[in-house]
Amino acid sequence: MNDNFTDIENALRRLAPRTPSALCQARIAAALETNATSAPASRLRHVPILWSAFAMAAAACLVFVLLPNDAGVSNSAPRTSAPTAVSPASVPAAMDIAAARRARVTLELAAPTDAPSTHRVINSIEPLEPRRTPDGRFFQPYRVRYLDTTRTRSGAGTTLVKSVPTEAVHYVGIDLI
Amino acid sequence: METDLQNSTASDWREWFARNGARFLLCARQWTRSQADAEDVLQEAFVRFWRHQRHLPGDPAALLVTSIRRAALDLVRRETRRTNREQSSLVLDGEPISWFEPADNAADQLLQDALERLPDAQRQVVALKIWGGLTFDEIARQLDCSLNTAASRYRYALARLRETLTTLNYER
Repeated sequence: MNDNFTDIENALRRLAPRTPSALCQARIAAALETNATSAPASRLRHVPILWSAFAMAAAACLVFVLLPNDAGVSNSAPRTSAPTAVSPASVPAAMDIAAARRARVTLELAAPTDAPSTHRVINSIEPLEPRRTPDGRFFQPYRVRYLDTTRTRSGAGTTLVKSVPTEAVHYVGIDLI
Repeated sequence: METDLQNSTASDWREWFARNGARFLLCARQWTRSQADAEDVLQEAFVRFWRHQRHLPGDPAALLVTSIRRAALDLVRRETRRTNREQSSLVLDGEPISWFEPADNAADQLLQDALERLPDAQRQVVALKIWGGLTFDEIARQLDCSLNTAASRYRYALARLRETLTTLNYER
């Protein structure tokens, strides 16, 4: 069968498929580097999902209860030195995915308000371009928009409800989440 | 394709991908709507394969193609769900990026055009056979058809390509 089409098959083999873009190759290289240094996935495969979720939640609570608030999430840039923007391709892919999945939980835990009577609700979380400090740590900035609501009861039995939209940029250390 | 990759390092695999990525990108392109989608699918599939299956013995092509097809189907499902949810008007056709590097001569350009005009089912078999390096048995399993059907589609596709090329050459 194939002998009859040898000429066409040879002509097809001469065609050069388009190579993956540099961005695609860089992401794959970063993913391989990241996973080469981590534990084999097969060891983790049998860990029940619920236990993983519980451990993650407990770890997040511990981080934000025991450590100063700006250790993992801060309202300003990391203090070591000025961070520089990096392309998403240079951020290890697995870390990036982990950050995206857990950032919401982390940020919700780290959303204090100035006034204790103010009820803060997160309206939106927008990931910004990843940044990297000169010492090599990656930070994922998130622009978080809040709605702060304060209820004040007056003497006449009425309640003044004051809602103020605010926003802040949080830097989440990728190595912490 | 190289064998004995089971004990290779990440660096070896990166080089392997640099040599073979284009072939598998073309395979991914068979099941995706755009070049960008194909690259996303290839990345996801290759990393998944590398994490979980690189230690398995044998030729990695069949395993990688299986991973690519699964990632492509996942992408289609995600896109469908998103479209339904957002009720947005997605552009369903991918951007007109050629699947191949620019051809050196007119004959190769004609062949590229003719290949892209083949029916999907036939073109997939050709891509998996020529660039994926799969056997008809492996292709049949990938496409959920019988071995005879896969072989027939391949034969029909090559016959059609030859016919198209002959016609175009004659017209020129």
